[in-house]
Amino acid sequence: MPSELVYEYMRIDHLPHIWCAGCGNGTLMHDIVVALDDLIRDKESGITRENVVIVSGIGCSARAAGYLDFSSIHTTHGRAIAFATGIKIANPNLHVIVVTGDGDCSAIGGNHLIHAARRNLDLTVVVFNNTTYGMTGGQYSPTTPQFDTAATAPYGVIDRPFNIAELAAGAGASFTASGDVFHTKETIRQIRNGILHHGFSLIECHSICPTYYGRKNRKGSAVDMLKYQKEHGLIRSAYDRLPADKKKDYYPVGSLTENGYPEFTDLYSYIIKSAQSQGPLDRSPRRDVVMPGTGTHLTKDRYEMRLAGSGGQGVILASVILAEAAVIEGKNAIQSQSYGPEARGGTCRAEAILGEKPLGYSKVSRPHFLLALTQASLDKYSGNLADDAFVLIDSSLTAPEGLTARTVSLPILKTARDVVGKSMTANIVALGAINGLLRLFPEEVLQEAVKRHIPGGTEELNLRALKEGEALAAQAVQA
Amino acid sequence: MANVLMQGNEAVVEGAIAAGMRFFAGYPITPSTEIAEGASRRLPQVGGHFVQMEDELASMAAVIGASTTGAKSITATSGPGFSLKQENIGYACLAEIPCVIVDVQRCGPSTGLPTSPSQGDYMQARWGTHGDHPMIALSPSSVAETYRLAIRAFNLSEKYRTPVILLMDEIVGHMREGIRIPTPDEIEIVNRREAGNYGAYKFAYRVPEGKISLGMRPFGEGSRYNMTGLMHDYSGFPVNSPVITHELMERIMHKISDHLDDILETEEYRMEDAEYAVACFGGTARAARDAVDAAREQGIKAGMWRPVTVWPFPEESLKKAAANLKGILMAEHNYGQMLLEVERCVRGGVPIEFIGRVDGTVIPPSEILEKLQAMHAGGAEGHHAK
Repeated sequence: MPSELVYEYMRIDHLPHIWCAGCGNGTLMHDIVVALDDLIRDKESGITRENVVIVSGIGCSARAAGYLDFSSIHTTHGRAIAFATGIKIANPNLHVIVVTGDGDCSAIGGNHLIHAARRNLDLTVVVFNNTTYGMTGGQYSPTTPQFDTAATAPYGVIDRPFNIAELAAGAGASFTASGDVFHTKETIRQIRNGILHHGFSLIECHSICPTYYGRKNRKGSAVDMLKYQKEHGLIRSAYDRLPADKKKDYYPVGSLTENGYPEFTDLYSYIIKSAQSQGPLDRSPRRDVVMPGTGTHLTKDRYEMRLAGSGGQGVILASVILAEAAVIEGKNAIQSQSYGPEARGGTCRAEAILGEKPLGYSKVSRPHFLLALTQASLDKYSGNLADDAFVLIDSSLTAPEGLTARTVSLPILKTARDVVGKSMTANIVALGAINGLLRLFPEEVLQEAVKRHIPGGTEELNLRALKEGEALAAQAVQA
Repeated sequence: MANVLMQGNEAVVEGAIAAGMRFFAGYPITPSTEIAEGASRRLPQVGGHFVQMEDELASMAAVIGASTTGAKSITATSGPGFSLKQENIGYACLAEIPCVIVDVQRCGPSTGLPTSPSQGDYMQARWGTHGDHPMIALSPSSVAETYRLAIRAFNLSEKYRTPVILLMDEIVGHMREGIRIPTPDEIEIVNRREAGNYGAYKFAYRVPEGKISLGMRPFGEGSRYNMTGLMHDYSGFPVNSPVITHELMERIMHKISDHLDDILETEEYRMEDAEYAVACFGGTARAARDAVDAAREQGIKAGMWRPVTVWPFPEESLKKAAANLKGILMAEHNYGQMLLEVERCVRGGVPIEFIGRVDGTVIPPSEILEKLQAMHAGGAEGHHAK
């Protein structure tokens, strides 16, 4: 007669299971059921039939998800913990139990295992460690003991095996334990504690595979393999008391680590509270622009502007501000950029295309305007200008021979450094100078555009930079 | 009236949130990173969750996992990451779990040119995951359209219970444009059809009479059912039966192919009396429209035909447009991927010319115009990719 638990918690129309006679997985699945039954009966645990989700990957272990009558998802090889991560984060009220194998969680899924442990997300991972790839016929896994044989190690495995519980502990899991097929009571206790633990928990359960691992390594029958577990699995406290030279002949069963690190979804709930208490952030959509569209000097259907410098000089931001100002004015604008892999240095090119009519092609073909803040960018980008192009360069640069466009040279970098007092405002000084020379926008429109794109607390500094740039242009116009 | 300057990648986040997206999992990759950054800032404000996963595979897995709880979920990536996500995209196709995958295409193969545009993932969007499967992919050509298609991607995904790919390119992803944000009453939102609470549920994968796709009760809300990436029966449990496998495959393929009127969308620009059409998709359309305008000024009756739904390919729309044409010019940033679809549909009925660019730069209007002039003069020289 099967246990009543089978009728209560198993999908009996999908039984008998597909595991081989003598396989340890059935016993371990039973241990999960007993632990869950105990918790579901305990009304204070918060665990109900409805709020448990079983997640599995691929392999022999993974079939457990289909047999357990809870919400269940049998996912892809190695990714069970990653699927479970999405489930738990999206709905932190669920109790998510991952049933996985040694290959599934420590080979193909090893990265997810260590990162879930590090994240300390409240998942319970139960590993059915049978030290082999059973589903594919007994190839060696990351837990196959060294020098044992396997279908892909006919001469013996030379890799050293993982201890999965210790691996998880090392990666920051806040609860780790081990169990096996023989020491049922202790294994159930550890699975139960793992489910109750608020944080990432992993219970490595030593399964037995008489069909592949056992047969290939002359471990005898399933009974012999269980007998081995009986004689060599020691409750943790007894194992810890063994002299060092004896430890290699035994393995521990029971709790390895347990601590109270803060849990991921708890921490994330603080992020939500903090984000919501700050109100809408500056870059969320602005529905109503009240700035009047007055006094534009922008008359071309398509006015192509190129701003060039080195990475970190802020030419991209300057181009964004130009486009923003056009949008405030009710004009059309496209902004784009091109840069190399460097965050600082290298040449950087940003583009803004402004126009009265809808704009098509997103790139500048023949710029009507070029700003260059470095010699390299001037040399690189001063070719192919429009016939009536206008060029603004920093006064430290030398205009290349053959540059026929109208060119104005202004001490932009020096003004930012010495007059405004911050080299990093050179892009805003340049914007002031550009608008002073080209009269693209009313001053207040450009000021508004600048304010929208600068960090809080830098308004005074940047508006001063803008004014200094305009002053440079005014002097140049007078001269 | 444009009133917000917004980047294409930013429009993905804003459109998705307007559609009800509340979960993002991703891994940083140029040129899609602004989507992850935007989601990390915006989601907590609306009570949603963002997680930066350890890799691209995990991101796709987490997105599917989150969707099983009822959260509208999204991830964003680019070429190399799109390759890594493919296995789990197939899982979402077969287990029928709604989710949206954004691929901001960059120049490949391999690491390629990370900051440069490309449209080289067109075929991968359709066939990237192994095995036959349905696929919907949408491709925007402007920031405003990106916002709109992010919403539409979720609507289609939820309605048909299938992953939808928002196939962007760096041209649109990284450019900023002025757009008007629609008000909530201007936006149509389609939510997942819920299923009742049935306890131990044996029909989670049976489509009720008169419905086009499965309802779905979120995990944790009563019904206990199984999902799997194995071929499965009505109950969601694995089978080996050829009959059930065939039925399942027919159903997931036909839920898309039987509803093309709802799913397909194309743009036709100045096509009314066109003799020559530029066929293109995504950001390439911007140069195409300019070239069409320029050609018209020179007396060449040119137009543009653009699939907005790039998968399934809008075959009938192209055939209809092609009936009155003297020539089609396919322009795309690859070696001729959509070209294969165009050729298949037109079947030699209309001469086809091709511009393909795979050097990290954008096809300019002038190149398209020159080709149109040559076609008009009868002197185009056939296919080649630069």
